[in-house]
Amino acid sequence: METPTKTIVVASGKGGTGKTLMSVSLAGHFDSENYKVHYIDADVEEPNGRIFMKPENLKSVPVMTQVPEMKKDSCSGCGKCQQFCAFNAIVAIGSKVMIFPELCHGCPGCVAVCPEDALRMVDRQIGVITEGDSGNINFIEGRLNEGEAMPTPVLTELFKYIEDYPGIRIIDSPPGTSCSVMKSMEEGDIIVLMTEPTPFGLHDVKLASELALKLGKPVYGIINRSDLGNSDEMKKYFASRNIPVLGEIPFMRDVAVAYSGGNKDMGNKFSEKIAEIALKIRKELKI
Amino acid sequence: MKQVTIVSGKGGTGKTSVTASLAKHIDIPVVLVDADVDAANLGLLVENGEETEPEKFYSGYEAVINQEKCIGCGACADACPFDAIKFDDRTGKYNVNSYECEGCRYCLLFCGLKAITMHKNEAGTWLVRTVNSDKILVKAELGIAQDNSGKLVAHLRKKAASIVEESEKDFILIDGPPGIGCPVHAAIGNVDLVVITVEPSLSSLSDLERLYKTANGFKLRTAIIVNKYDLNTDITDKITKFASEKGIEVLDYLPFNKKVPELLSQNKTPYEIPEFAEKIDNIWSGIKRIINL
Repeated sequence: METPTKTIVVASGKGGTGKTLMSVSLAGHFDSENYKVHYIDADVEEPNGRIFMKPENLKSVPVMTQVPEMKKDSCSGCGKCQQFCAFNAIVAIGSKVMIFPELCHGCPGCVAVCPEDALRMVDRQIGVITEGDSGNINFIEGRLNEGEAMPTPVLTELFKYIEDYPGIRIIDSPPGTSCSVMKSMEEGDIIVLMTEPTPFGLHDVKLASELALKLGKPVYGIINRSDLGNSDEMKKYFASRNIPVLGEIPFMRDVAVAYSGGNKDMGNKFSEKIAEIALKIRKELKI
Repeated sequence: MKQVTIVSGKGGTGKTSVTASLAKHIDIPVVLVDADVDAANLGLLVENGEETEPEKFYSGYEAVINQEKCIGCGACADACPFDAIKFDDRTGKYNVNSYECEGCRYCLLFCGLKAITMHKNEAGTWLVRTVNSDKILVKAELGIAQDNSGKLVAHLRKKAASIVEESEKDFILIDGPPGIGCPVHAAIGNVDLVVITVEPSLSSLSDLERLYKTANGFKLRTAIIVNKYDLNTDITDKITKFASEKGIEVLDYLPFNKKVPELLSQNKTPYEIPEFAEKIDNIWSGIKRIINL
């Protein structure tokens, strides 16, 4: 049976609410129902999915960005490159330039404006995309190199990489509400927001919800550790925005312990919760 | 002036809860900075106080195409390195997607009709909350889907530094963001101590290693707090071993306690639990000792 292609983005706002836990669990569940599944780790600053998915047969592709370098000694010290650069990534000192690669956004503006044709753009590696098998599940991870400032080029490459991958694609997105999260949400047919019933969880899920709704995406909520805090307030918020709650998962110490050890098998009680949530997702995606 | 930032790598390990608990206990005047600007929560746990009007923060620029001048040639769209310029079927002209535009201005080089202008990008808002003469909070809210959050963090820290200069405060405590990217760099740059909160999970340990590499790259001193340590004592041991190998001090180990989220839901800090109060006191003594405060 061919699986229609659908993308589920798991996001949150607040960190530590269970995005990876849910993404990995849903991937396992859909796989057990014989769907073709891709698990995509888009938390490129701190990708942890591989701890649980334990992928094999890894192959990697470097993620490159572009930065300028001097190609010949013809700098006249005019400073037009520095004037043009919006990011202070190139500074003219006498008849040389100093380049700050981590600040460069990769637009070839400085090269274009240099009257002496002294600059050219060259490749620089900022991260890596890794693909592998986790049983029948296809594993793809984006990873930003330590010390790098900007995650978005890695995300752009990652989503290009999986563009034509057919089947159920589960994107494990980063925390927060910045443009990395927006880029991830843009890929989704639906967005599932993981949250916890604390004031932090509520504050952040409101931001994440607004972002998802602004993008015009169908949004759903899951309340994790639902018995530790004020779930009613959380549910009230979701209801006020017409965001259906797919499930409430109480705190289960053995799930926390299994998660801590990188163990995907979270026990029967948890698996039942995942099955309920997966069924609702299938209905929403019409698969 | 001394500065300490609390970061984590992995989200959800307790940065804000620890920062707020410390803030409750600190026995000297302090300026608090909430540097987790796209999910700023510290204000929920710090006492209320008089707040300044939120001020707009501008960071970078975004391109705007004048629809009357545009003739739909598409040169700008072909040139844009970020695919931020799109054709509008209804008008036959081009528009810049402000979320995708990075403000590089490369497109300006290609528009012969000068139809493109750069507008200041409003990235977010910030304000100062004065709880009392000994405690001030500087916080911001990054606009949804914005990038450049490192600049906003840097701005907040500059503001905190100027408050310290003007008043009698000597200490800045920064609640950092998760991850290892630009906003984290801005939050930890030049501080006297980077405190990393970790939980005993392989995920958090992996993130600790990446964050440590990042902080070490900046040549910054680090210390560790292990939160919810009893959820997996094997991994807590691994963290202790990592710390010892790198010569990092573990300030203390906080146990998992269901009362913590209950207290948080009442906008109270874990400091209310006597066992935690003792440990927070210990952590604060450790911090003071390390930074010579």
